[in-house]
Amino acid sequence: MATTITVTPGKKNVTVTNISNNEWVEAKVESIVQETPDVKTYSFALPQPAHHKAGQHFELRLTAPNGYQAARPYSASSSSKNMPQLELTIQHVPDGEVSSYLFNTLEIGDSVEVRGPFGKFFTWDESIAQPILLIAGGSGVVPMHSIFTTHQLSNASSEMQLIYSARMFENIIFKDDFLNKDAITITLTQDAPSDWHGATGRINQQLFDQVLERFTDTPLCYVCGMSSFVSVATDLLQKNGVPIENIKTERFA
Amino acid sequence: MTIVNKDFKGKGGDSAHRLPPGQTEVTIWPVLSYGPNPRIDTNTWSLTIDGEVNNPITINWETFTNLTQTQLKTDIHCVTRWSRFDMPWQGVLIEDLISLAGGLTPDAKHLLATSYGGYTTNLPIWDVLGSRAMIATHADGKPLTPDHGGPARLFVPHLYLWKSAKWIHTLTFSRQDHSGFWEVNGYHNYGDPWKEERYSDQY
Repeated sequence: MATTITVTPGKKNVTVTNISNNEWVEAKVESIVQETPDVKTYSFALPQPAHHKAGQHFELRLTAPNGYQAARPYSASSSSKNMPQLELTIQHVPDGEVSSYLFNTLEIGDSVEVRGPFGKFFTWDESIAQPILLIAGGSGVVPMHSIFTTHQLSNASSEMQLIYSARMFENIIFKDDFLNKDAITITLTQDAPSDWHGATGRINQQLFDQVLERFTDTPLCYVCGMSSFVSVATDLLQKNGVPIENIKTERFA
Repeated sequence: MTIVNKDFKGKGGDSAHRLPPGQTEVTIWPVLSYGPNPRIDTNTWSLTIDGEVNNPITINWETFTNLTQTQLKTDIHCVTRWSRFDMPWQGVLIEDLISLAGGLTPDAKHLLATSYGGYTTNLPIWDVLGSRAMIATHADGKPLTPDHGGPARLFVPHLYLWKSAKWIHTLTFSRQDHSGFWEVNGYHNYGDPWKEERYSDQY
């Protein structure tokens, strides 16, 4: 439900409309960036700013002319700072009902419906003083982009490191923001170009040694990716002495 | 006003009438959880039933697995918008565990389920009585794997699956409702898939 609050500062009436996160609103596509062969970032104009926290997700809904509807949850990739638009970075799932339409049909100027933000657990803001280790596999890096860029744009002095496992160089999402950053360790699991200076192979103890030694205190860890990736990463963290209560996960099938 | 996407057809299909609103049928079984799987050894595993019961008890794995087994074949629904049809489940009805604990006191109105690893979720007692809920040890004819909450999880198929707490450890009955993990992190307090009770109405 929408609640309208009318306040009276001085003589002029100012109306503030507060749209609930459970209410579907029109989201008009303002730009589409092809991040990788199967990932695109969609920037949406909303009736009013989304005001999401870094790491939260939204739901996106499509409606067919016959009334059939399908909705999916997608993490925001946009920073929670200074961002009038909402950005969702979405991987095309082969035969996926919603992502196939978004990937193949949706164009700039078209509209869909979104609602949100949702989820209060897999989030970060500068009130968290602990050092942070983000670990992402594949498109699990989407909420990490939100968290990492929000951290950069904040006044936070806390340490934040990102380990990002991608298949090949061409599969790296957010290349402009993520390549050649001291705080970001990218490992390519399948094939690396001859001039690749980053890590290769699946995440392992050696890689964790390199990154964990950059922390003076035990970090709070955020892990996102396929379930199997999350299990490997959280096992490694626990073997390296990170207590279970310091580990937040988000898994997708 | 709903935005119509004119070239969107979707899958729809015969299963649509069995799906709660906004859900899509899957044939796989996705894994979702907010943290690492806790390590659980059935040699030290226990289940406690306490709070507003007449004789609070803690039972070990051997006692638990010797209790009457109940099988259910049911659809399951996850708040992340997938549903799976006709899944066979097996375990011990909560009602049978309540009997083992001497029955509920007249003050028992709510249940807080607590997992190994600290996860919690809350339910009204009506939703765990009869054959509505069990502590499940098997699904698809096989023991539950750790990813799916093994060795034993709460199973409440008529509500979104976050209510079916994995790695169950304690069932605490109480007079007051105490919100669980996702219930304080933006999700609905009850979670009926047929009413699309996904999220709480604030953030």
